[in-house]
Amino acid sequence: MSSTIASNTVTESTAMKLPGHSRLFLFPVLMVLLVIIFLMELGIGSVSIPASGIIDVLLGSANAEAIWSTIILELRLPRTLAAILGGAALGAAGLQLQTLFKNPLAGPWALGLTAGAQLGVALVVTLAAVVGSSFLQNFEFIGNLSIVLGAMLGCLIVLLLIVAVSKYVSTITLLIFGLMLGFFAQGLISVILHFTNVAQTRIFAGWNDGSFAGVYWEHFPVLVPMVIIGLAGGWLMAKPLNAFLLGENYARSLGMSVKRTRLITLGCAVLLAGPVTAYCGPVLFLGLIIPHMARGLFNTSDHKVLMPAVMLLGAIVAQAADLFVHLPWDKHFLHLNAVNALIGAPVVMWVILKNKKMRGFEA
Amino acid sequence: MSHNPSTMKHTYLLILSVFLFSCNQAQSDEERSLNFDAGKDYFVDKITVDYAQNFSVSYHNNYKVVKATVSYGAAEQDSDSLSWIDAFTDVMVLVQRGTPVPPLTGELEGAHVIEIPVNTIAGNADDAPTRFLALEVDNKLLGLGHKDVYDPGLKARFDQGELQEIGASWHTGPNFEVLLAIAPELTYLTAASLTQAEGVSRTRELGLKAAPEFSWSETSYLGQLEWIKYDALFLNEEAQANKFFNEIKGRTDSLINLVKDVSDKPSAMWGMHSRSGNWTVRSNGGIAELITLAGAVNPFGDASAAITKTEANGLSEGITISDELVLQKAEDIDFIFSFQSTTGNWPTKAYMENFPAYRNKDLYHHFKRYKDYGASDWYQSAPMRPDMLLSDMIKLFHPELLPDHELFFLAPIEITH
Repeated sequence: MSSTIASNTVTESTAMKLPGHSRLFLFPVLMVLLVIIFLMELGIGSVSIPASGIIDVLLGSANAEAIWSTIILELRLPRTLAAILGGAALGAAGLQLQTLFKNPLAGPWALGLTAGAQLGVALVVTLAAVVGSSFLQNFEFIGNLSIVLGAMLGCLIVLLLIVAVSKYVSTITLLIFGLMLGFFAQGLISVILHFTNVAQTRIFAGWNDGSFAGVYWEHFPVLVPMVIIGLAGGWLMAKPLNAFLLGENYARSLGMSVKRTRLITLGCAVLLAGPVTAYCGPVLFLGLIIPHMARGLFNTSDHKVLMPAVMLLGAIVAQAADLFVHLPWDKHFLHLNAVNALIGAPVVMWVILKNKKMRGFEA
Repeated sequence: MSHNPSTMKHTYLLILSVFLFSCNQAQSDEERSLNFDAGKDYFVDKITVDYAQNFSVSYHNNYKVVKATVSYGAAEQDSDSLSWIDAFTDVMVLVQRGTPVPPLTGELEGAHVIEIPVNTIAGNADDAPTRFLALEVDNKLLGLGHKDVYDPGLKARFDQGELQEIGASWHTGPNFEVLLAIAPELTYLTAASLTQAEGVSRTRELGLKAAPEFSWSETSYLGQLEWIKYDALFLNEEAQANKFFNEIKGRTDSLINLVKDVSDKPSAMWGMHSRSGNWTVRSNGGIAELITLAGAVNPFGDASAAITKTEANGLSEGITISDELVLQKAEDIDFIFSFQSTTGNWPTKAYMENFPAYRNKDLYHHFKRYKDYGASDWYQSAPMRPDMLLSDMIKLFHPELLPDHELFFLAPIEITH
């Protein structure tokens, strides 16, 4: 039955355009953009810090004011690095999932992975409540590795369900199945949280907003290795994923183990989406739109180009969204996912309108 | 055309019933008119609204006109509340039993008419139980928002099935089925969102009497406390309300006098941290006011700041300020109060060490009075017991002034960094 989804939409829209290398010059351009937004992230916030002050802090100068050091080194820098890591990770996970499922709308959110991770976190929160109120009161929400494991486990379970179903259903049906899984998980979360206490529900609600600001230095020892392994895995799987674009039979004819490629790729996607969701909450749209932006920008579906491209673009878009959220708005706080939706929804609409099969609602 | 005898019989019975009901009604109205003394003041005990901004009352011989509204431009950050402010001002006519309803014209047109004193009540505001207990009308109580109530007497009545849960939640209205089943003569419904506002009107559409309640929206602790008078209006318990209000106000006034001459004022912040990179601090409202009255300085005090209600608390939570802006004032903050009982959800140790409060472990949460089944007395009692919160804060800010006081609401926050 996998042949029913073999003819699909990722290959159709981008028709396996291999390098051409004519647009590779974009990489240094994107790198410069990344650095510019990075510096803007460090330089712009609620508290106005002069450029000289930022330089002093970054150079470790004795002239740097202590409060500026704390703002930049303890708040802005980890938040910015989390945006870079999160954006790169979600972009790469989205690319892997879109190729693997041959589905242009696949992504951690659309396939229900994000909801699975949310469910995992909700279960951990509730389990903590069941274990006892003393444990609950000592609950170190983000520092606790159990949250990461809960998120990853939730992700993995949803992903396995998607994989199992993907053999029997069409592209559109799979998307609907993923969305339904997401709704089911959300429903379950709501029921589970009903039975925990108000304070924990509120903490979950805070996490559930999605933000890079809740990532501090102590979280990086867990977040960074997982994301780097996931990204490295994604990079190494670029060639097999290219073969996937031409169909599983073609991949097999090249002597490739389809099953192993699937497993490694899915493992990478979980490593990328799980920890990022655990620490940043559900960050919507990035995993879905970044691969399309990369394909459009580089005009290729070669994963050797796309994989670094989605990492860079993901980091840039996530940073830009985070920067917009943290501009010095007077007393008002924007939600990251609201900004992501403003960026992401038009891209998704463009993808749907551009794609013949999806536009015609054909399987 | 044939007639089914059974149908005819039912029709006659129906007509007879309507006739008898009409006669009875006519008699009742007539009786009311006969017994009614238009010159008599039926409400000997009265209240005055001196501090609350969001309800008012005017007394007429046999009825009271009560207006409940959120009248100030607060809640800018909360679209729900903003819509609610624009959407709703409630006018209720409370008519003494056995006396006629006044003509509902002019400003009374469309008003909700309630016959008083009501004999049975329910309420789902967080602080409703304390008001009912203070008014000594808990014997009239049929239901509360939820069964996790701190007061042991009320909890026991829940356990024995004497009280029902009518539902209390930020985003949902009450449980109408339960309300219809217990059919209180009046339900005090907490109102802070459009959904809840609809809950008030829906309850009325179902034929039940309902009064919206939003003590949380008051900007002063005495304004919040004065909502006990609002509840009393429907029960003709003004005398008891005045007694309770004056007693608590007297205690707080004494405490305020105690600290009025202190010159060394520490700085205290009341806030909770969000992972989105901000603190929600009490800038305005009763708590912020009490910090100042306890002889401390609130670095985030701002009389014009917005007040919002959140699901975690029946009280106003204040305004949201970024981590960066809070850090700018960190060195001036000697005490931190929060609903968070550990620092697990707070920023890093490096950030927190900028606060003398953190370095000196002067961090306090308000869950000291907590029951394992999930009840917190804070939500139930704090708005009605500002004297106890004030005592707690004075004990911390100026321990020499209240050497024998044992903390009532507050307890140390555990540092988990």
